[in-house]
Amino acid sequence: MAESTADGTAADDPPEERRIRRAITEIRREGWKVAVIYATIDAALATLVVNLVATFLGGVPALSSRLPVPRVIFRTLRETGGVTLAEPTVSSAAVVGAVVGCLVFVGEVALRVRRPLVEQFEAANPALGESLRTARDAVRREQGSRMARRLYGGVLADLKRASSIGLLDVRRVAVTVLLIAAVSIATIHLAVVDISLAGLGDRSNGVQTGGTDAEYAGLQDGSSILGEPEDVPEGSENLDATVGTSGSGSGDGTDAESATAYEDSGFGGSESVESQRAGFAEREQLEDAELIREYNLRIRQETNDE
Amino acid sequence: MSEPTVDVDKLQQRLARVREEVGKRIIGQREVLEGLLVCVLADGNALLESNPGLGKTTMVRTVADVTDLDFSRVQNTPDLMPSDITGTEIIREAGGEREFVFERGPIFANVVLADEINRATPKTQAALLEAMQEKQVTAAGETYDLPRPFFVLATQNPIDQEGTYPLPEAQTDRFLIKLVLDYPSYDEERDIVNLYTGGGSGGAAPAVDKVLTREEIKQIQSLVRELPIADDVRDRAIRLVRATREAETVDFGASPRASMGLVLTAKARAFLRGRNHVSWEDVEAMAAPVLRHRILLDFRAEREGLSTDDVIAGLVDEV
Repeated sequence: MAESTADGTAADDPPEERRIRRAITEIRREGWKVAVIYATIDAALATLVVNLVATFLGGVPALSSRLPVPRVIFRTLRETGGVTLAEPTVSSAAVVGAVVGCLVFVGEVALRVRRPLVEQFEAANPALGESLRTARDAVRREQGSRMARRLYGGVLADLKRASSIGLLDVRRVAVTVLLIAAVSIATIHLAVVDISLAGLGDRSNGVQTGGTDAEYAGLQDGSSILGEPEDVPEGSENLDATVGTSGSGSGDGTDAESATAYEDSGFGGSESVESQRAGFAEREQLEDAELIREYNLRIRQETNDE
Repeated sequence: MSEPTVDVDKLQQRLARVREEVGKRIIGQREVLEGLLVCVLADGNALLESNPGLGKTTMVRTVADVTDLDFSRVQNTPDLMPSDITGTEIIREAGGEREFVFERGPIFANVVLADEINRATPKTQAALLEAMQEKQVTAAGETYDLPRPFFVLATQNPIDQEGTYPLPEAQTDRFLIKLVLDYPSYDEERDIVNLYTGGGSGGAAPAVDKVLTREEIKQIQSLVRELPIADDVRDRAIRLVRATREAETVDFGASPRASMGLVLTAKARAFLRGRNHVSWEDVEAMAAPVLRHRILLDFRAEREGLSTDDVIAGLVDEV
């Protein structure tokens, strides 16, 4: 048996047969490329569509939850690229989208290469199809007759003029790319506007739900943003600083003054801020004030008694 | 063993010239001429069926004239003996001595036109067909090879069947193809009349050039067999022949010899058309000539008014 080379040709093949074998290998490679191109764009589209749908259907618990990013990735990013992720989690919708995309990619590649790639090329180049098929069969039968060699020469000349672009349906690829762009824009738009089927019912009541608050729970965790606490060196200079105040806090400003103050220094004292402050004033401190007051009254009473 | 170097392009150009030269004498009948040339290239024999006066003899003689081949004609009659065709031993005196010498018959030619073969007795038909098949003649214990290339073209007259001996199916199977000449169109018939009744030629057939030698024909016959055929085309051709044995409308199907003939004639046609491979189109074109004399239709086909060519065309579409 003839010794085979890397491209499947036999070392003692006549030159024409060897070139035909190489050409067939090249055609198969082109077929793989086309299969990967189709699979890649289709997988990208599938990923984006799944992500979009999952984002839109935010109420599904399995899709709205966030999955932790493995610490290894986190650490690697920080060590290699100096990138520190604010939150080591990833949307489960994105994960589902990626998995679907991978499945689409693998499935489509498998489906496309199931039909012999050279036959696909022959179908895409009908003028060359019969002669190429005949040449393939002749090479397989190791037919080295004069007419076979003549056929090989003709096929090789035709192959130089042929193109594998016929394997690619350009219109289909263009449509898919446009769809990818459209779905991407829709995804971004959805993320900005924050439309979700899950939140529509609750928001219609005008009441902020706990579910929405939960989205900001992570940002309130200061340690995750600021990092580990560390000692700060004491300053050596003393500086006098004057902080300007708006009129609203004084209690005697008018509405016009308040408006002017708002334009100059921003929002300065409103009910919402006060309620926020009240929210941060803990009950224990209020109770302490009452206690102090009670103690003060008792001390005064005792003083008066004395 | 090294193969002789041949210029295939040159040979294919010569074949194109052959068609041009034959066209000087034969108006129309392009398919029949192509079939005839295919038969020559495939080294086979042809059965030609037509009504009288359609130029069968002229066509065959012209092919012989442009191809540098010897031509002979045998007019078959019921009293024709086998030895009249193959030859016979005669006593010849030479130098005062008498000796038996084999006198070669008309079959010792490159192109033999056996006119109205169905008028010869079965015994004579058998002798002719045996020579045709074996490419040799045996007389008085001696075997004589026929010249190569050897090509028999037998004609049959579809009308006036009285006093004829139709060829048995087993005998017709030995013909590679059967060609059917039809009447020419009006324009073609007018051109024929002008060509052969005009004053320029004096009624004689126009002169043709010899453009293909017998050696070149042998080379082409060798190249035709080397022509590659795709597996699927070959398998489909075989399925087509096998379908004739299974078709409801066919009483008696074609033999494996038909499969070989179909592939070989398809190769010859591809070569004739300047291709280096066999196309399914070649098989389709040769299906009727190769199969039409090898199958017998069932009564159902006759009842439906189907001809043999109709049935074959249906089978070609099916496979």
